[in-house]
Amino acid sequence: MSVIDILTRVDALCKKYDKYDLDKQKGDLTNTNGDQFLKLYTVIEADIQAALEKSNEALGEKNRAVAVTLNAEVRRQKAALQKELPKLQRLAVKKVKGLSKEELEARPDLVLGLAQRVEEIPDGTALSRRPANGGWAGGPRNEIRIDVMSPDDTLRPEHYAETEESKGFRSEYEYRRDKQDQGLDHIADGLATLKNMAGDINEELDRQVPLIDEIDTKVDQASSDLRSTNKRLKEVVTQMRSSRNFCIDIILLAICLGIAAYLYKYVTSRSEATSGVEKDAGMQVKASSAAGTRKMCIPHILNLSVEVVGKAMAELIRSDLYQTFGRRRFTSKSKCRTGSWNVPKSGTHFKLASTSECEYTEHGLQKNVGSGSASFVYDKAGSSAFLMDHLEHGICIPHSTFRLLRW
Amino acid sequence: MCGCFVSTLDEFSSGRSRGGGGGMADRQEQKLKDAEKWLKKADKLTKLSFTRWAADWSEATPLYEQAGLVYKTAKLFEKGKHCFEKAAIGQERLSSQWTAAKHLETAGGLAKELEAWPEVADLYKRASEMYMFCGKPQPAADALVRGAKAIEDSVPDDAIRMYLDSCSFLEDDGREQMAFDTYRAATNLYIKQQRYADAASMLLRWGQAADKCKAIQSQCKAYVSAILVYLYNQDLKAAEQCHNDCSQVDAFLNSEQNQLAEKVLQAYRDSDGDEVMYVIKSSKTLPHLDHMIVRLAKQLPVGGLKPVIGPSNDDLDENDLT
Repeated sequence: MSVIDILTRVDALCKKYDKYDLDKQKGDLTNTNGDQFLKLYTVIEADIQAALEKSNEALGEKNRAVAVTLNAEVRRQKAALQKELPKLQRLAVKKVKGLSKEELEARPDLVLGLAQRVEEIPDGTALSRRPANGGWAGGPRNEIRIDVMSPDDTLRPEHYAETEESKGFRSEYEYRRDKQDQGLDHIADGLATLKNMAGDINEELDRQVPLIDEIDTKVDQASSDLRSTNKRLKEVVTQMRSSRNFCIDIILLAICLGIAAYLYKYVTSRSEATSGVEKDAGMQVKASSAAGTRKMCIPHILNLSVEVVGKAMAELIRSDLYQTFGRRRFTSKSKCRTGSWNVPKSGTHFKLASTSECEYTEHGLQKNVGSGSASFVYDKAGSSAFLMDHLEHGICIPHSTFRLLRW
Repeated sequence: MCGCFVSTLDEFSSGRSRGGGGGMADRQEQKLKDAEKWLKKADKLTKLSFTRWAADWSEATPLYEQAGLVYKTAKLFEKGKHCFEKAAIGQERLSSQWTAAKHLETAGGLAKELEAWPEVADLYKRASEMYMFCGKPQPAADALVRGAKAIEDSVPDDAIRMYLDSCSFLEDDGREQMAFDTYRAATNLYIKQQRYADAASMLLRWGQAADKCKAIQSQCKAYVSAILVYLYNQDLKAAEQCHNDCSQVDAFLNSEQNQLAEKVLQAYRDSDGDEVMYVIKSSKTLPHLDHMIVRLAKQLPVGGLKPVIGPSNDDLDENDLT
């Protein structure tokens, strides 16, 4: 904002709020100091200004209603001002101190000038003083005078004659009226159609109301039937799965499981027997050597291990030797060689052959006493025979046959 | 849709499984063959012979139905009709009249394609009787209307009779509101046949029915239409009489339609053809009437404007005071 703008704004604001400025008011008073004329003059002038502004506004106003109100106000103000003017005139002729003669004489003229200015304020009704010519109907350009008709006017024949403006006005009026009629006809057609459609819809709905009621009852019936059927179905199903039947189901299931378990046990116990022999063989050999018995269990076919056989044989041979030669101190070294297993499919027995060499040295002597080999014959039927053949070199160990029972 | 027909019918056919075999034609042929099979089987089941003393309708009826459906889709109308008729008899024997009536209606539809008009009428009438037997007048009336519509072009008299029967069914049952369409159809048929007096009387009957169910708009429309038809028929006296009668009804008296009627009648009384035309053209309520009536009304003054009592068909002679 430039300085000039600021100055103008300040001026405007000051002017606006001047009335609140008590000093200035007092100043004014002291200025005019008893000069009533000047006071009144300034007041009237201000009012004239205001009225002029308003009338200008009214002239520029497009909205006729607003224009009319503004004009009415202007007229009121003019009337008020005109009332004030006589007062001013009286004051004008009064003598005031400190005023020159010329000024005093000029005052009435000022008053007259003021009066004229007041008259000239346009207030929307001012018409130039024309002869009463087109008094009846002025066109839209010229305002219609409603209050300036005198009784003489009606007597004159031209009073009712048509002017250009009035003809134009009339034709325009009729044109507008026809247009309106057309529009209204259009609307009426549309409304008639609407009414017809609405009436038809009404009848259709009336027709459908009993149908829908019927549907309603039927559907209610159907749904209640469905509900009762469902309930009965539920009852039947629960009865089928009642506790008594349920227990029977469980018992049968338990029996089936028991049978299955029994079968399973049977199968597994057969396999256990064969595997249990193997373990026993090792243990029993030691037991037999310690106790001198000759009983030995035959290991399970499939779990036979060469070492066991070899060791078993070695122990047997040693016990034999002990028996034969007494309890001399023998040390034995046994070497086991893997044997071959013949497992004939279709036979009831099979032959296992293994050889083991045992060196028995008599105390002090170092002599390979003998070696032996043994063959097992396993009888499927449940018992088995354990045959042992000794092939010895040097020392003759009697052939002995051991019959061992299995489990 | 044919596929699902086939799949539902599978259970009755003996182990056929023609899945993605040939094209549509093949499937169609297959279906037709099946239909033949079923038909034969059903016929065998129902024909009484030495070995068979009683027809087995409970087995035969479904077979007939399926065969009929296949024929219908294949557009073999004669066979389809035959199957449906047999199926209807079967259902009747099984005391299910409702289904029987439905089958008869289907058969009637097929007969219409065959253009065997007496048969059509007969089938629909039988169907409607069955519906009545079930105690359902509404479907009975509907069946009659459908039948009438089917034959109205060729045998209008029968059609008219069927329409009237349908209307009387509904009136007896007290459900006139459903009858409006029937009245309309009957009126249009009369007008087509140029039996205007009958048309007008039908319209009055319509108005009466509307009065009973408080359908004011329809009632007024019916009355005004009757008046216009009378006028078209060049029967001014009857029109006036009709107008007088109808004016007894308050609802009509105060209605827009009555205003139209009065204006037209006034123009007629004044024997002013132009006025009549003007009234008709500028009326707001006329376009909402039934289109046949509107067509008649538009021709009205041309349809022969006579002076109040006078036989001339020409344009009006205002000096004629007879």
